[in-house]
Amino acid sequence: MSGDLTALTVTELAGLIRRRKVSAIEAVEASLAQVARWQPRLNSFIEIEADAARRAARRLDRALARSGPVGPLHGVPLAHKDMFYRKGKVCSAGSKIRRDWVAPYTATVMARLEAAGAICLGRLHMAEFAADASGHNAEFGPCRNPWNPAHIPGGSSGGSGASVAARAVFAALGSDTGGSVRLPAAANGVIGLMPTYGRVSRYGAIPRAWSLDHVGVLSHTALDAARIARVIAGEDPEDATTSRLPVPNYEAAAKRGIKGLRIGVAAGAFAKGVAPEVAKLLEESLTVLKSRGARLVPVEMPDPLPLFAFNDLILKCEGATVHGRWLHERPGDFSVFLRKRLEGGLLIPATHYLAAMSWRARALADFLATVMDKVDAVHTPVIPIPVPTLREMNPNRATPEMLNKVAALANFTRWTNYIGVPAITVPCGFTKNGLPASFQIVTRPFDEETLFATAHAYQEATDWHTMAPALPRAARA
Amino acid sequence: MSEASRLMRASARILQDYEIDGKRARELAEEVERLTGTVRRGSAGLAFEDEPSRFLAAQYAGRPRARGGKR
Repeated sequence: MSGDLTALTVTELAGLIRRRKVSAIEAVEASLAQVARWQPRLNSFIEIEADAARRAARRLDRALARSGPVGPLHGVPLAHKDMFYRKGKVCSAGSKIRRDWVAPYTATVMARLEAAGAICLGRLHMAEFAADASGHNAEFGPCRNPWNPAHIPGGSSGGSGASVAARAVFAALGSDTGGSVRLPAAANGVIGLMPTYGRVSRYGAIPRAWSLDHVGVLSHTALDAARIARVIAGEDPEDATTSRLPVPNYEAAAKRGIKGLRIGVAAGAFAKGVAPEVAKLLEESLTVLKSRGARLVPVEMPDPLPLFAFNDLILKCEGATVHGRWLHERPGDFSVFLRKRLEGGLLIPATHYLAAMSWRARALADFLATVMDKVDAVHTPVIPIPVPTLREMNPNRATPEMLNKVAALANFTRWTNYIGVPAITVPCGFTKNGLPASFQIVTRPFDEETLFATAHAYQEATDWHTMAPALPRAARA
Repeated sequence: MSEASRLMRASARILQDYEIDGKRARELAEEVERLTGTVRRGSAGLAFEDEPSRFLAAQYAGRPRARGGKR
């Protein structure tokens, strides 16, 4: 096949490989060439595993010739946030403490992707222990946004967002504890899926905060995210929080359309603090969804700030517990920024933590009763301001202005982690600074099908997802 | 030193070698107050049957029962 393979989507590439129009090794070589062009500009990879990827591709090409595709991702090059264990491979979690740590077993999601035929190109940049949304990292240097490297890629799955947007990989996994899949997806102009809490196993994924962590997908299209989600979702005996509910055919659901779907337009607190140019793009996205047959219903949303506060308290307590031993033994090996964020959790009384955990059922029930009884999905902002610069978000220069921006980044994402509902972010244009903007769709627990249907219907009517950031002329060769 | 700050320092001593100086203890006291304030106000409304495991039950109860996300 002629043309740029990296411009394809996951489903397109997998189809071509299955029909033997493209080989896995061709796909890997195209991706590695793109990685080589972008890596000096983005720093989105912590490690590029070129030789291992080539070996896997040749093995898969032989398997295809011998007995057909091994699964729905046969030969598709992916790479993932450096927090998913693979037995015998380093997994740094973006930290100095685990910089050279070798995983003793393999994460369930990694095993499922490999069994489906996906190829791993390497380990992607992330915030230190998944605890920041800026893309800064004291140990590995900052990751940058391919639309403008002076700007943040978002985080904590910043390497996943930047690599997918730059078309260096076809899709990537990330993790989301307060927005860490959706914020980098939005900042880089790609799809960001956070499934329902318990839909995808976290076994072998280093925790940020157990009760709030979700493994998610960053991709170009909703169909790609649907295919990958179906591969990684489902019960896992190694993770007792996973649901036994069967995993639907998400790709089929994505294609069912949204005629008559009631989409709630978030009002009240969700309309505050949104920059006018972002608000305009959100309005335009609603017009598109309406043109596809959705019924728009204004809904008064619960104030996200108390849920934000509950989420923050749980995050601090569980984070301090996860890292308690290292805080005690190796405090100097944390960045000052992260150590300060974790310390508070050591001092919060257990009764307050348990109260915050106990409120989750009430908060979810309230959301279902007051919002989701009127609609099938809710449309909200994601990042309410134009994507800021790395300089504006430097954790070593924590001015009040910066702290306000940090808080604003996750205002519209953290509440969903607290109540465990699924969400997807969809790119819907660009702000004046040339950086992407996105909207978010939220549904009932375990209703990922409606997320995919809504996002796919929008992408069928728009072409934001086909746009790619340009390399400087000197880097294109 | 305030009562909260003394509590912070006492808690910190539980962690051997983990040093929190007086200035940082005051900062942490303010942070913990901010974090716990909302929860403290909310917890007044909790009932006997509210417990963390109810969250998963609420999730299952809240899932869509018919294709299309409608209940």
